[in-house]
Amino acid sequence: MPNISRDEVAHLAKLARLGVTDEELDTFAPQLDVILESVAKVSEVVGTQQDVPPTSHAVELTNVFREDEVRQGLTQEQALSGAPAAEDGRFRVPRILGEEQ
Amino acid sequence: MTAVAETLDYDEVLDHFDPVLGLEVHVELNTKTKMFCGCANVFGGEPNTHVCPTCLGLPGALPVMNARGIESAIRIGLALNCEIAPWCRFARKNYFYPDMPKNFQTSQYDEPIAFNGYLDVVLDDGEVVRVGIERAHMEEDTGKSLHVGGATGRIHGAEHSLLDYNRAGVPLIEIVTKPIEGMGHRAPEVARAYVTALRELMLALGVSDVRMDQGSMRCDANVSLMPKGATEFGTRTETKNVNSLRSVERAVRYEMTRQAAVLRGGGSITQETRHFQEADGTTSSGRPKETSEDYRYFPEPDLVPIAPSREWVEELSGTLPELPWQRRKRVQQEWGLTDEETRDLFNTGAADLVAATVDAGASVSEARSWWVQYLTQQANTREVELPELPITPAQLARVIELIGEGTLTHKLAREVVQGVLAGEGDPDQVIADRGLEVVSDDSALLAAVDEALAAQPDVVDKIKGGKVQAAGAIVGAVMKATKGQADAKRVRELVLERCQ
Amino acid sequence: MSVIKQTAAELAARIHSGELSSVDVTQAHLERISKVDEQLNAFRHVDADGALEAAAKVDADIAAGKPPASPLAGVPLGLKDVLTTQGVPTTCGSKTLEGWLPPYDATVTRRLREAGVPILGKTNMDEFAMGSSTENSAYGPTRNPWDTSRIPGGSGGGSSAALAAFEAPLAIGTDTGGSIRQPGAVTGTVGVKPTYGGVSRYGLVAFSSSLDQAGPCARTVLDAALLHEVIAGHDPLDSTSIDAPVPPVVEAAKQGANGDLTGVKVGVVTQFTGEGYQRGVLDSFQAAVEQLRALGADVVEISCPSFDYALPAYYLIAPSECSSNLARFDAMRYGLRIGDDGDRSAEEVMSLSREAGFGPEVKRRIMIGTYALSSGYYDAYYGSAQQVRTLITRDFAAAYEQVDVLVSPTTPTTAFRIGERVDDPMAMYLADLCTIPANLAGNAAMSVPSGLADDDGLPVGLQIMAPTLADDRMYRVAAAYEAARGPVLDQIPEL
Ligand SMILES: [Mg+2]
Ligand SMILES: [Zn+2]
Repeated sequence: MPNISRDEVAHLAKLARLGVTDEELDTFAPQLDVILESVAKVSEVVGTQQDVPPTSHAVELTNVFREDEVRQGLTQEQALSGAPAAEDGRFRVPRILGEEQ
Repeated sequence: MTAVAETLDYDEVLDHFDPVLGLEVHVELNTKTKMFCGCANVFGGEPNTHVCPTCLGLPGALPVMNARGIESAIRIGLALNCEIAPWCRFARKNYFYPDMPKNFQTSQYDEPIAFNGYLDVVLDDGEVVRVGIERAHMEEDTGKSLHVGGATGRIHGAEHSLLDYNRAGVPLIEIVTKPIEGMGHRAPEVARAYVTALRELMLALGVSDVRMDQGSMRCDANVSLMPKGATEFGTRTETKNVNSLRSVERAVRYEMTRQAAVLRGGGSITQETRHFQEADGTTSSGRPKETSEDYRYFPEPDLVPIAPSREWVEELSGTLPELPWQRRKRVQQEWGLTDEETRDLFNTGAADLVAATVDAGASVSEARSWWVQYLTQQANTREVELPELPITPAQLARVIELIGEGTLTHKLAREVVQGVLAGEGDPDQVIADRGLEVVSDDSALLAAVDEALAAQPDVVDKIKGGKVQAAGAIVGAVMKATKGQADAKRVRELVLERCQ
Repeated sequence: MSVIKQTAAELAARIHSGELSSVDVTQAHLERISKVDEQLNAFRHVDADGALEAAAKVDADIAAGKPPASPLAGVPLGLKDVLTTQGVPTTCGSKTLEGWLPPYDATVTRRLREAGVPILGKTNMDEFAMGSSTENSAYGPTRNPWDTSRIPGGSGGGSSAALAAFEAPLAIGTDTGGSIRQPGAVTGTVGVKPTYGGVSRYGLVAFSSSLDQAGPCARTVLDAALLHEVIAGHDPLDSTSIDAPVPPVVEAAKQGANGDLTGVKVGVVTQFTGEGYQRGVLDSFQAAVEQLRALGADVVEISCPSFDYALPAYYLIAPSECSSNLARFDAMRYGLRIGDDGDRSAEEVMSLSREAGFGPEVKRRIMIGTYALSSGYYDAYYGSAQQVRTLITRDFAAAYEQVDVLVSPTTPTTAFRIGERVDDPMAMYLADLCTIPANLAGNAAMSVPSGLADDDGLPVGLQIMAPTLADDRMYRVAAAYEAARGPVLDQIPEL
C-alpha cells in the first residue's frame, strides 16, 4: 500500500511539529516507505482471521481509580525550574498563532 | 460588486430557512482534585501553584483517574436520561497547543461514558421542548494563556504569551446535543433555555459551580440553516466563547441572520469556528474547519478501561437529588401557583431565594412578589444574576416582617431594601440610619391631620355628611406632608374621629 | 577477589556484616568508572556525591546496629537515564533534555533510595530508548567491553556495558521491545523484563506506554532477582501497575541454583531458529537446550505462528504511542528551545526545537506513528497491529498450556559493529526479533548468558519466557542453567 512521497513526509513532519530539511526529506521518504511497506504485513494476517478483537493493553485491569484527595504537588519554583523562560510565575512562550480548540 | 447586507432581518430568515442547532457544553466538575492527579481543583490562585509532574506533562509522569470525577460523570449521564456505557475508555486527542502540557488531551472519543439521553426544557411561555442528548463524555481542561503585548491583550498582535497550568487537568464533562430541529423562530430561545436548564441540573446535582463568567460552564453553539422544506442540513459554524445565558440566545440569533444574509446573497457558508463578541453581539471568523488537524485519536495506554458495574450505577442513581423539573412540579403544587406564576418563579431563577425567604418566616406570596418582581428588576438594572444581589433571604424576610407589623409601608420597605442593596447594613440598621420608621405617634400625627382638615373644609363637610370614602383625600394630604412615613391606617382613624 | 568483580549478593553480605563499608564499595566502582568509562561511554552522568552520601548513610545505619534497609542496601547501581532522578540530570539520551533536572523521582528511583542502594549515575541509552545499539544516543555510542568496536546492544547499552566492565554490580534497564534482554545477551550479562505492570512506570520517560517495563540488569541471576524484589510491586501512581504480590523470584533463583529441573516443561519456539540466525548463536542455543534437558527438563518444540508478525506489529504500536508520548517535548515548559528570537511564533519555535532536539531514529518513528494513527490509515495499521497483539497473546496462552517456560535465542546475532546498521533501519530492527512477542503480550522474559559463539567468540544470550506474573518460573530455570553453564564474564578481555 505505501509509497511515501516527499510531500507526505513533509505533511507528517508538519503534523508532528518536526522541522525537516530538504535533505532529510530525501532520506526519510525512502526509509519510511520501506518500513511502512514491511509493517503493512500486519493487515495480511489479520485479514485471514475474522473476529480478532484488538488488544490495546496487555494487562486486563479495569476501574483503577484514586480517591478525590489532595496530594502535595510542586512549588511554583519547582514547576518553573526547567522552563526555558518564565515571567511572573508563568511559563513564557513565544506568541501563539493558532487558536484554542 | 454590490454590497450585501451583513445580516438579514430575523423574520425574513424564517421565511426562507429552518435553523438547526447543536450545542456543546463543557462543565468543569467541582471535585476536590483534578481528573488525573492529586492537585487541588480551585479557581484562580497564584499561577502554577496547583501543579505536579502529571498535570504539567513532565516526562515520565502518569495519570490516575479520580473516582469522584467518574461518579459525577455517571450521575450527570443518569440525570440526562442517558445510557451508561458498561465499558468505556479514555483516548488521546493529539494536537499541539501550548496550553496543553502533553500536547494531547485525555478525552473520550468513540466510547463516551454516557450517551443517548434527553433533557426537557421549559420555554418562556411554558411550552416544554425535549432536547436530545447525543453523549456526555469526560475530558480534562487546559491551562490558561495570558497574551502579552499588542493592543488588546488578545492573542492577535501579542508579543509573547504566559502560561499558567493551574487549570490544566481539571475534570470536564462535555455534553453534546443531538441536532435540534424544527424550532423555527424559537431556536435562539431554545438554546438559552437548554443551557439554563442544564445549568440548573448541574446545580441540583451539586457537581459543578457552573459559573459561566468564570468559565466553569462554557457553551459552543453550532448553527446551520437549511432552505425551507429541505431535509439535508446546511453547512454549520461553531461559535465559541459564549459566556452567558443571554449570549447563547444572542449568538444563535446573530448566526442565523448572518448565515441567511450570506445564503440569500448567493454565497455559501464556510465550515469554521467563530467567536462571539460580547460587546456588539456579533460573531467573527476563526479557524476554518477544513484545515483543522487530524487528531489521531487512540486509546490512552496509561489508563485502564472504566467498567461501571450495574450495582454501582444503581447506587449512584439512588444519589440523584430532586431534579429541576420534578421540583418545579412539587413547588407549584405546594405553593398553589398558576402555570404562569411557576414559570416566572423559575425563569427568574428566584425559586431557591423565595424558598429560603419563606424558611426565614415570610409568606410565599410576599416572598415571591419581592424576588420575582422588584428584585428581578433591580438585578436587571444592575446587570447581575439574581443571587448576586447583595441582599439575603433573611434580610428580605425581616423587611416583610416589618411590613406585616405595620412598621413599614411598602413604599418605605422599598427604600429599606435599596439601603440594604447599597450596602448600608441590615434592614433595622437602614431604618435607623435613614429614619424611615412609620410615624404612628398620635400627637405627631394630629397636628398634620388638623392642618389638612383646615385646608379642605369642603371635604370635612362631605365626611360629616356621611361620605366616609372622602377621607382618602385628607389621608393622602397627611401622607404627603409626612413624606410617607405616617401610618396610613392610624391617620384614617384620626381623620374620622376628628370629623365626628 | 577485587571488590568490583564480586556479585551484588556477596557485596551485600560483606557490607551488612560490617566487613566492608558501602562507601568503600561505592568508591571502588567510582574509581573503576573514572578509569574505564572514557573507552566505553556507559555512563551519561556520574553522581559521585549522591552515591557516596547514600553509601555513608547505609554504613552509619549498620554501625548503629540497625537492620539493613533491604537485602541490597549499600550495593551501588547504574540507573538508565530514562528514569527520573530529582535534581540529577535525566536526558533519555536526547539533546532535547540536556541539562534538565527533574523535580521528582521515579517510583523505581524512590524505591532504590529507600532500599539504601547508592545510585552511581545515569547510564547511556539510545535516544528515548529507541534503538538496539545505543548508537542513537545524542551523546555518542556506548561501546561493548568485549570488543570496543562493537555495540553493547540497546537501548540500554549503557547499563549492560557498565555491568560487563565491572563499573557497577547492578543496573536498571527498561525494555519496550528487548532493550534489557538484547543488551544483556550481547554483553554476557543477565537482563530481565518483568511482567508488564510488575514494576511501576511512574517516572519512566515513556517511549511506548503499553510496552515499556523497567527491570533488573545484573551479572548473576540471583543478583537480578534481588534487585527485582527491590523495585517491583504495586504503585498507586501507575494505573497499569498490578496490585498483586511480587512473584517470589529470589526464592526461585535460590531453588534453581541447586541445578535440578526435573519435571519442568520447556518449549523451544520453532519460529525463532533457522534462517537469518548466526550459526554461532544457533549452536550456543542448541547447547543450552541440551543443558536444560540434562538438568532434567522436558523439552518440546512449540510453534507460535503469529510471532512472525510480532516485529511489524511492534513497529506500528511503539511508534504510534511514541508519536504521542514525545509530543510534550515542545520547548514550552522544559527542554531545549531553539529559535525564540522574539519574532518567531510558538509553532515555529516548537518545530525548530524538535528538529534540533531529536535524532533521526526518533524522527522516523514519530513520523511512522503519526502516519499509522492518521484517519484513513488507523484501521489498516494501528488497528491491525492491535489485532496481531491478540493473536500473539493467544499463541502464548496456548503454549503455556503445554509448557512452563519458552526458550529461544535472545537475539539472532552477536554484537554487530558500530556503524554497521545505522543507515539501514530494517536491519537494526531485526535485533529485537525474538524479544518483542513478550512485550506485546505483557509476559515475563529474561536473557541469561549462554556462553560465547564459536564463530566469533562473542557472548550469546538464552531467552527464557514465562507467563504473566510467573516471573519466578524463569528465574528458577535461569539459575539452574547458570549454575550448570558456569560464568561467562570471566573470559572478558581486560580493558
Ligand atoms: Mg472536547
Ligand atoms: Zn497535578
